[in-house]
Amino acid sequence: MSQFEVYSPEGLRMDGRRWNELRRFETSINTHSHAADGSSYLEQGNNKIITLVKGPTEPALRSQLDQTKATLSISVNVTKFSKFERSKSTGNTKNERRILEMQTALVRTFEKNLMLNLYPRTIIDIEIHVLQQDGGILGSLINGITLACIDAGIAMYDYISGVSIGLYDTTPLLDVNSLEEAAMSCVTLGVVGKSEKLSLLQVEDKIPLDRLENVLAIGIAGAHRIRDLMDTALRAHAEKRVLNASKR
Amino acid sequence: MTLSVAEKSYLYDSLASTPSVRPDGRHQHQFRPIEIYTDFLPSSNGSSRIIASDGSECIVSVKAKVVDHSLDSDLLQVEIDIAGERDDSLITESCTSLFNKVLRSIDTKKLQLTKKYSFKLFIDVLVLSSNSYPVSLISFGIYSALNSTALPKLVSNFDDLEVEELPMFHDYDLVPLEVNAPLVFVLAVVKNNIFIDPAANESEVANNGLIVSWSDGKVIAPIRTIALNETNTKGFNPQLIQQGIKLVDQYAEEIAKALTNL
Repeated sequence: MSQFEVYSPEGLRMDGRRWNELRRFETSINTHSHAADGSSYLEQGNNKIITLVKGPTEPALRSQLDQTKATLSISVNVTKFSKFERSKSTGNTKNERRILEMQTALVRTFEKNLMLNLYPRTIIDIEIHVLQQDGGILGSLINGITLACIDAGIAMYDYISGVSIGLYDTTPLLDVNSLEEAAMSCVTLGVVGKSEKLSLLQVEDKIPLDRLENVLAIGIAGAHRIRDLMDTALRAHAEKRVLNASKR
Repeated sequence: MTLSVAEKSYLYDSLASTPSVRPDGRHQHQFRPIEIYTDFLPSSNGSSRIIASDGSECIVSVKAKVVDHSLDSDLLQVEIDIAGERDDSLITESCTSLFNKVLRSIDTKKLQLTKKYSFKLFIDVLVLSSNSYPVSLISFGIYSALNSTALPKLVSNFDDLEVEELPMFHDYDLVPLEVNAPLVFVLAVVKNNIFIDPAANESEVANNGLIVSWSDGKVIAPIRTIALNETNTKGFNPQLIQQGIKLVDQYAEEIAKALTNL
């Protein structure tokens, strides 16, 4: 199989996965307990993401104060060294349009999932640092935020798990990496818990409408798998915490 | 950190007395424990993550690129990003300029590949959280990141002026970069005493701060003073600068050794 063949006739992708396989998914929470109220570190394939949740706290500015619910602010910091080639832009990468769009999408997703009405007159500040990226970044950001919010103890309706799916000719490919992402059109999903409800659907390129159902089906199945992986990791962590607490 | 008037006065008095007592019982020259991990970013040539005992954390990445050094003579470039601070804020800009100056002590001959081309090192620093003035943490991070840096091995000819060829590299062999990275120390001045590595509460009552750089067995330029807080800053006896330099001279070697033996 050629190194640059996206999907071989035998049904293998560049990194040896089959069409419906996820990348390595490893996560830990409460990694920065001094720096933030909730934190998570996520490795999804070669994506490495640190998420810090600060709050609910009193807002610094009067303009961020909402009498009825908490204000949610999400800032995504994609480091210059996160890609294989260092990004050349001399200016501020934080104000890039692509990043701002991601932030807005994330705020809209999580505004509906976090029970912000329980924390009126406060701000919940979510800070994300992308140390390394390798495709499907928005999905990984969603997973990181979900885990960090759970660690912070913020009330939420359900897990949201994110995943990107590409469409190669007629075959949907689950959890694309950066090479696959560049080669085909992709869809990013945010799925609520074990349901089939989508809280985020992002399509940046053209996708044939009659293929979309297939793509969504495998995406939802993959997102459910990610939810289970996150759940297992969280429960393992909680077990350790409870054990430590009962020893004292 | 917010301290009450009573706490501040107690802290100040205990730090200013002879012999002085630091709130965590450290010696004048003693650092707080730190944790360092290196080489965890496979897409960078070198990387390090350093965590101080108060939860301050800093991540450093070193990436290399081949440049024509006759066009671009600046072979080391530091960029610092402090979470929660703007890129043009005072602390970010002063740290960036400090480290760009400090790193000039590195001999760039080590980065030269051929008569025309050199490696340029991009050192990106991300300070995730900091409770006290972060330059000492950043410098330890840069030191260990540079020590863990490995660069592709040159297989083509060193003398390329006659044949006009681009440097060629070995497919997978890497050569560790051997440079004498400098270290930067923060010292706090309280009355007539001087301390290395002030914690947040010590910085809060310090009369002044001193930044001392050190490389390869001796103290080097730049040496600067900084205000560690907005309320307590005063002038200080110039002899304390000498004392600070002596203190760094005495202990920096051991610290560098500890960081190298990682």
